[in-house]
Amino acid sequence: MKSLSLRWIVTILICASAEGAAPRPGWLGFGFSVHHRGRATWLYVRAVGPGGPAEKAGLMAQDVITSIDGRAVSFRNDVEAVTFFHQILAGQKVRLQVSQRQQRRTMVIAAVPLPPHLEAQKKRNLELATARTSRKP
Amino acid sequence: MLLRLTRGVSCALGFAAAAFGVARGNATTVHLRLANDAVAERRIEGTLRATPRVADEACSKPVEATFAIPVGARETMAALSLCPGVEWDVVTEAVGRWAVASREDPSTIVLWPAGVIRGSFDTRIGKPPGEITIRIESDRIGSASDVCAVRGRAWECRAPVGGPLDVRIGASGFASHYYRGVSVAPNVTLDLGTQQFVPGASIIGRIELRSQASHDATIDLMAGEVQVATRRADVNGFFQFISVAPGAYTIVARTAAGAARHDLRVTELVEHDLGVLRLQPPTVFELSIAPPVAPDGLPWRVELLRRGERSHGAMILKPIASGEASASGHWRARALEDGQYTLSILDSAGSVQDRRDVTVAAGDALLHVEVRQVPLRGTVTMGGEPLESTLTFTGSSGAKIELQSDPDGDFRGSLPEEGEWSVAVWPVGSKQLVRRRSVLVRRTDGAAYASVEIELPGGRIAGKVVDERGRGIPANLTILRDRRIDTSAGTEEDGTFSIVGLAPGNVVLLADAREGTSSLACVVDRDRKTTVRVVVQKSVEVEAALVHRSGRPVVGALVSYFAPTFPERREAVTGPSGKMAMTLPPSTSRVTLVILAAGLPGKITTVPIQERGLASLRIVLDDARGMLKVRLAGVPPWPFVRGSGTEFVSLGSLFMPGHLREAIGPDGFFAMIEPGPYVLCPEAVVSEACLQTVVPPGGDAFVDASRFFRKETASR
Repeated sequence: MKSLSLRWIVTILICASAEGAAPRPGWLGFGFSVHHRGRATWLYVRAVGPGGPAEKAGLMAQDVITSIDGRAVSFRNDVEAVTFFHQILAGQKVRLQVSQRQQRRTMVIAAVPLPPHLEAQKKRNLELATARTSRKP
Repeated sequence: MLLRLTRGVSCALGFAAAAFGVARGNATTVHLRLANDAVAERRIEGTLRATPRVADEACSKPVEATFAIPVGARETMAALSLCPGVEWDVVTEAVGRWAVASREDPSTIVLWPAGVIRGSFDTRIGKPPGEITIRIESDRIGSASDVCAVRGRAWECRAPVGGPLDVRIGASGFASHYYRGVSVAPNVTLDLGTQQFVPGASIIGRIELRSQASHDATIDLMAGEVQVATRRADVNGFFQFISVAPGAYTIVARTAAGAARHDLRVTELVEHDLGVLRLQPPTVFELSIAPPVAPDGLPWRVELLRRGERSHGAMILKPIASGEASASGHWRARALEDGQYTLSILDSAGSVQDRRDVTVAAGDALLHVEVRQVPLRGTVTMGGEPLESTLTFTGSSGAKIELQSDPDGDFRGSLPEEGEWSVAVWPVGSKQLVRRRSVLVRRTDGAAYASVEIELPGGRIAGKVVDERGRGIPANLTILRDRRIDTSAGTEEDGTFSIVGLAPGNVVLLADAREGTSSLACVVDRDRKTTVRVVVQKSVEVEAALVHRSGRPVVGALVSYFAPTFPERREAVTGPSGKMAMTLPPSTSRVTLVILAAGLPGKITTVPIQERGLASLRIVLDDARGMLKVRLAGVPPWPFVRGSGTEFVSLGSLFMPGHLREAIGPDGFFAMIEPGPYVLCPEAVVSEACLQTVVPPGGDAFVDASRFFRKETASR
């Protein structure tokens, strides 16, 4: 059974626009890498932003995320994963099924808006994801 | 209309019960009077409610007292039975009145006629705020806060009649709204319109210059060297940043007349009031350089960089000022902020002749720098033959000088000082950085110049990288010697390559191409060229299952794996089934894994790999653990460690990437690992320099490896 190991880190720092009135993209506050094995896909938590929504919800580094909002993780590539998280809005709640310290847990992370200076990181994440996806055979 | 809460103002006097008024037993007298010596036209009734700030067993209940100012009177008294030695918060409620503590006497409460301020909030962002509070500040009235009434999206607060007032409308977890110089008229509601309550932390402050509000200051919110946002101070010198994410920031305020900096860390989603930031006048930095011009007769070039906050472990240097010095060796930078800078003096070729840290403090700064010149002559050879190349000399002070050797291998120039210099050699026309050597630059007695001979070994490996069909392909090449990278190079497009400057001995040549990888053991001869043909092959995949001794799969383990057939650390992660896959060159016969699973001790294991085809490994993890503590002088480089029956691995692989800081304690680096014997060595071979230890179950083992790497070897 062929497996595709994707090794990279996406730091999701989805940013808010300037102090404006429209709803803004949300920030969950954790970085992850996408992995495949056979038909299974999961997210591996690499880092959790201190004081961020993910940390407050109890997410920790080395957690394995197997489902999001009740649906099994099924991103076909890095670009799909990054694009998914880029569409989350501030105030939106995301329910994750997580394997943490060999225990299964469900946690809800409420996204908050981010300062504008992280817009550059958001674009960079998508560039990295696109580059890695295009390099795969 | 009447408010739902007909409350007055929380006085928050915070006084000890016996500190004011007349205390008889536990009774404390509070004086209430009308503002401006007014006379009550109607009977004014109200309630005082006192709550202890810190409750204890003997004194935890709120205390109330009523009061009344009769018609024609200006004041009255009320008695509160307060426990002595306790601080109390007092809330005053009086219909139609705004209460504030007297500035002259905090035990006196002044009652002002109250008006109404109202507004509404925008709920488009997230959930609406909960409690909304108002805070009034006025030179005439004083300052006090109150809780506002909220109905739907509308809010309404009491405020003292009159003006000018500075008003803050706030809600916990949201940025506050500020209104300066408003006036509240009697019987007229002041409508402040709609406020958008933006969640997150906020930062406020006031800029002053010589005790006056600075209304033309520009204020930058910096995260390291990244400008997050910028504001201009208002007429009162006030500024506000909203929607600030948690993190470390620096506020930098600037005007033509001065600057100010303030560092802060935002950890909670609250308002951070920096108070007054006082601008300091700028400093003029004046530099005098001797000799006044560079050795080539051209003016010096000067760069001044600011030493900023560390970012991702690296010190940020931001260019502040640069330019050419005058023919007399003078250079000046104006309007500098106080702080730490790095000064570089360069010649016309861009070589850094002098680099040093400087501190700019308040007032003018004058620095005199003597750029010392040590004339240098030398030759560079490879295998005894002269080498035309570019030589880069790097000193410990940060000076970096580039010289050229001609086809005869001769070079000359000057360095700013004598001593040990690191030299990188780039042969002309080569894609390879041949060697980095440490050379001693020193003039012998009476000599006009220092003489340096750089002799590079003449060993060479040449050949071609091909795929399994024999077609030449481009690849990246790495030469490993004793598990460390000796040099690296690239092939031409047709796969041909030539790696030069190699010391004789046994090395491993690794080729990494898109079509696959290959490793080849080679012997470098001192005088003869070694010719090889490197056939890259597609990697093979080996599956491994990690299980706990209880039989359950180990999910989310980060596995670093190493083998002699590839130079770099590779990584895999176990999924929900506890399984992972390793990608290995086909010639790999054994692989060493470092397993980091959350909640379990780290494990180092070396396992054999079946030749070709798929192989499946099963690795069992146990709960037994101990702590390995290692003191090091600094990293990198990392020493090597091995367990019983395993190969050496880098000690750094025992720590989660990106989480190294969490693994540093008073005794140095610490790692929770399987109990057993371990050996630490500066190199990946056993030598007299190695240190042995045994990590006991449930206990600690400490190793002082700080003497490793104290003296760098000349061969690096």
